[in-house]
Amino acid sequence: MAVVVMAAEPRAEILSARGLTKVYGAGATEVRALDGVDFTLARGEILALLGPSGSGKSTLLNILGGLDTPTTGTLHHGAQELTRATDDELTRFRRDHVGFVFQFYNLVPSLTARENVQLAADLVAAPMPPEEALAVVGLGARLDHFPAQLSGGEQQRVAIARAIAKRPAMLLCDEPTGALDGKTGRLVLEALLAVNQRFGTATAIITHNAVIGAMADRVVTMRDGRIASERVNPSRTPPAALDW
Amino acid sequence: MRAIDRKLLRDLGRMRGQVITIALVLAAGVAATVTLTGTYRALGAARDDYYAAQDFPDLFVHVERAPDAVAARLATIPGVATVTPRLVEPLAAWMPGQARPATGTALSLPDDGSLRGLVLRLGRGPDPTRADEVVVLDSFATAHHLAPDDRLEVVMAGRRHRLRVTGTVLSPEYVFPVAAGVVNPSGVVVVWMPRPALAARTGADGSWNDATFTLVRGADQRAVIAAIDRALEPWGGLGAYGRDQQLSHRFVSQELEQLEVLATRVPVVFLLVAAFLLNVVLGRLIQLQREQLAVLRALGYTKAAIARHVGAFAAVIVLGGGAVGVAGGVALGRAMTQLYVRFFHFPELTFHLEADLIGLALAVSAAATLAGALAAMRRVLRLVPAEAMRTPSPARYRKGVLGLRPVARLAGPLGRMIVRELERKPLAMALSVVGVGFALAIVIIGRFSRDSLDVLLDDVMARSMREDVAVVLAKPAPIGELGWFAHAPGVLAAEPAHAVPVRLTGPRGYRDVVVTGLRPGDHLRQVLDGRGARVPIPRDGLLVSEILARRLGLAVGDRVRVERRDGDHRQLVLPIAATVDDRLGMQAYLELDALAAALGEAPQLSEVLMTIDHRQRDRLMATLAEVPAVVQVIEVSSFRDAFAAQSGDSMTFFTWLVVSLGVVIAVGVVYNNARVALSERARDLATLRVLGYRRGEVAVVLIGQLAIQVAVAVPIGLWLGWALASALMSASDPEQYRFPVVISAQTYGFAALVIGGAALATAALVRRRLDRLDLNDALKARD
Ligand SMILES: Nc1ncnc2c1ncn2[C@@H]1O[C@H](COP(=O)(O)OP(=O)(O)OP(=O)(O)O)[C@@H](O)[C@H]1O
Ligand SMILES: [Mg+2]
Repeated sequence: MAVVVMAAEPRAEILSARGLTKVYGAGATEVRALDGVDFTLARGEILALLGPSGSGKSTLLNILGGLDTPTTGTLHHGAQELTRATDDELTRFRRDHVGFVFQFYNLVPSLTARENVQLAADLVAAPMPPEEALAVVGLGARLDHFPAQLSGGEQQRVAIARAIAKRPAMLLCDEPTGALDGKTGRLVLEALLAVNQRFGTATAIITHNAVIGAMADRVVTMRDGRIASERVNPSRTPPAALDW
Repeated sequence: MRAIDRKLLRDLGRMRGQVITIALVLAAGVAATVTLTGTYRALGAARDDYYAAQDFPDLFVHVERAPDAVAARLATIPGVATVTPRLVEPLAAWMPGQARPATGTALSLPDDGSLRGLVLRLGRGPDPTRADEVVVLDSFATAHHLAPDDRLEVVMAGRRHRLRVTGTVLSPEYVFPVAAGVVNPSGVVVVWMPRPALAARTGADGSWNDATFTLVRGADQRAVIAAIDRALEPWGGLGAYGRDQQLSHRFVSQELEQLEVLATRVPVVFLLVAAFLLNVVLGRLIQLQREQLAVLRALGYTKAAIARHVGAFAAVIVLGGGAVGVAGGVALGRAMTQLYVRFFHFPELTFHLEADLIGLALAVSAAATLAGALAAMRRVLRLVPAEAMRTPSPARYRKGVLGLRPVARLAGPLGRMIVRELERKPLAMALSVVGVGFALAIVIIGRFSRDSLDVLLDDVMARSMREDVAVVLAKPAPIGELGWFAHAPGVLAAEPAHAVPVRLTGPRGYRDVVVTGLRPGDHLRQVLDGRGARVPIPRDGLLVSEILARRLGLAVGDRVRVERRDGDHRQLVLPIAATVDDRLGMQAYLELDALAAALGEAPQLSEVLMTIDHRQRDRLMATLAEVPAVVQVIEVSSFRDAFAAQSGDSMTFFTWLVVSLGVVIAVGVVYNNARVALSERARDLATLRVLGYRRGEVAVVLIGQLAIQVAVAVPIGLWLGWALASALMSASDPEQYRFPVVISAQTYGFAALVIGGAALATAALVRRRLDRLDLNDALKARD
């Protein structure tokens, strides 16, 4: 069976974390946002991260992407231990390997769509041309619009274009469709899938929408700062076929 | 172009209002530095160069009459480099259209026939073979349109003389033309002619009555003076004195001293205030960009790259503001220097831009700006990027830090928003308040010198010199002569004063001053203390200015050595009966009879103080002009006017300069505060609008915040203004007269109005922006 085949041939790990904890505050107001998480992200896979609000999804993703550091635990990128990396090394890691898509887009308002993508492209030696990255997400016609002139879904797709322009090995997306309607959400997911298929980019997607799990290779569910369950899909459902 | 550079340009463009006003704050600081320091240096250099080029004498002495041979002996005194004996004769000239004659001096030229020590402006020097040729002081010639070949009629040694002008000259002894209490160039006449010609007209052949000295470097001036005085005692020497007693030099130096205080202190205040404001305002501006900077970090931009980005933003402000400041400073400096050209007559007085000045001003402002920008950036970068992007999760509002909770409860939801915002960022709010306060303080600094001058004039001129006219006699006369003056036409009351030039010596040094003898019951001359209260004139000892006692190292009860300096070199010792913290400095008083007794003479008068019937003024002047014993008639009102004009002109300029720069700073601060607040709260305010609040109500939240800040800032600023003004004044301790630290209600009011005006204009602008606030944009895009 497919499940067995997938399990028998684990793909190479790009990120692997052991015993991650993240504690905010102290004493009575202490919050354990992560409470002993073991986690891997494999090359080329699409991973859906589900879980109720406050369960620690964003915290985990931020740590994986080197935007934040865990309280305890280790995180490896290949042979490099990111939990021991200096700030400069983390910056390098983000620059060379990670593309982020944030829930609130976080585009630079004073730059056009093309320039926002270029902002990332400027950082690497052989980037994807911004126009091409925007074409991948279906925005080839809105190159010179400023964020304020774009809809939420369009802004999110610009954010994806910006994330992939560096040709990163992994794409970390925090609720990329959270603020979007079904049709637009599907467009964004199509874009992510297209990137994954064309470039083999490992893609982690946080979502509240369990349905999106169907397009992933693997679905991880979090609860109270722990991984509550993990499921491997036998096959991926294309976004167009998702029942929103 | 790299996208990050494009972002820089766009940000500069989008925030141009803020960028420009911040740059102007910086420009104001730089301009103040360049203007004041540059003008001070220009004036100092003009004086020093002039003195050096013309060998301005180090010592001066007047004698009754001395034969030429004595001069040669003076030259052998150790420390004396050169001696120039000369003839000096008082003279008066009735010029067309003048109510009073111009008074002044005729001086002999060096015997070698040169114009040594003078700078020829027009024409040529007098021909030694012609008895009537003279050169005239340029300021007088200019005031009366005298040109070479014109005639000049003067009264000298009791006779009329028709002279022919061959040229006009400048003299370092008359940089500031002053004679007999007259400071108006048209009223001060000085002519130079060959010694034989002057001697023939005054009957002083083969002798001299005045000499100037230059000293060798490092000479002991005190010892030389003592030696000169000893040598000249048989010839009626009136006591040698240094440059510090030379009238023109004293005026110029005093102005320079005041300018030095302004030039060294005011720019420091300006630059520090500007630095503080740049720091605060730019810091908040950068803070606004925290999410964008976090995104750059998330994308993989290094801290160094981000620092360069922020640094470039600040650099544009520094360079732009610096360039405007330097250009403005040069223009203002030229104007201010030009002002001095009107009453200081140097051969050359030009404002020069000096590289070290620009460097200094720019370094300070650049350091301030970059420090502000980079400190804010460091705060942003210290956050892990995840943290920086955490907004728009609600900001953490604290409750009740400032104990404003009851207020908040009363104020309704909008009022509560204002109060909470103030409470949430007490530090940012406090800094803004202090910033506005400083701007207000600068406006006060600009204007308060005017108040001080008014008080000084009021104290000194109006309350302590209550006479209308002071008549100065050539020689002290018996007190009985007062009767004649009391009955002169138009005189309402006349009181005597006996001014005796003396040298007071104490343990810490000596000062040449005048002891004024006054009668106890008289009221025209009054001695006032610092608070304006009248101090009685003692009879058992001297009443001296506190600063004079301090400089001499004496206190009440001590005895002071008094040496007459009016030809008679008799020495006596008098106790100090009292000191007075007066505004004039360097004064000494004694009862008229007691003074006479101490001097071993019958009571005398050397001045007559009178109040007059102004309708008969011209008649009185004409009468006095006929009296040979009268050498000067000083009208207090004209003295006051002249004083006000001289001090007033530079002060008006200074006031105008500092007030304008203060206004620039005030507007810059208030405007930026409001703009930053607007950016910070655009989302909240848009949300309120969406909830259904009307525009005016929404504006209240922001404008209320602004109003509270300004309201708190005003009293703080008024206090800061007073404190800075005191600090400025304490820097100078001039012996001549001391400006009181007085700030009038008008100045306080004016400063508060300026700030209030800036706040209102800003409020109107904010209101307009709020009205145009695009709800969608505000809720969608954050910047
Ligand atoms: N800076 C912080 N300080 C204190 N607590 C925090 C902080 N950041 C996150 N938390 C807490 O950590 C827990 C996990 O937060 P996290 O943002 O990872 O949740 P999430 O799963 O992404 O939730 P959501 O689906 O609502 O985005 C939450 O309880 C949150 O309150
Ligand atoms: Mg989250």
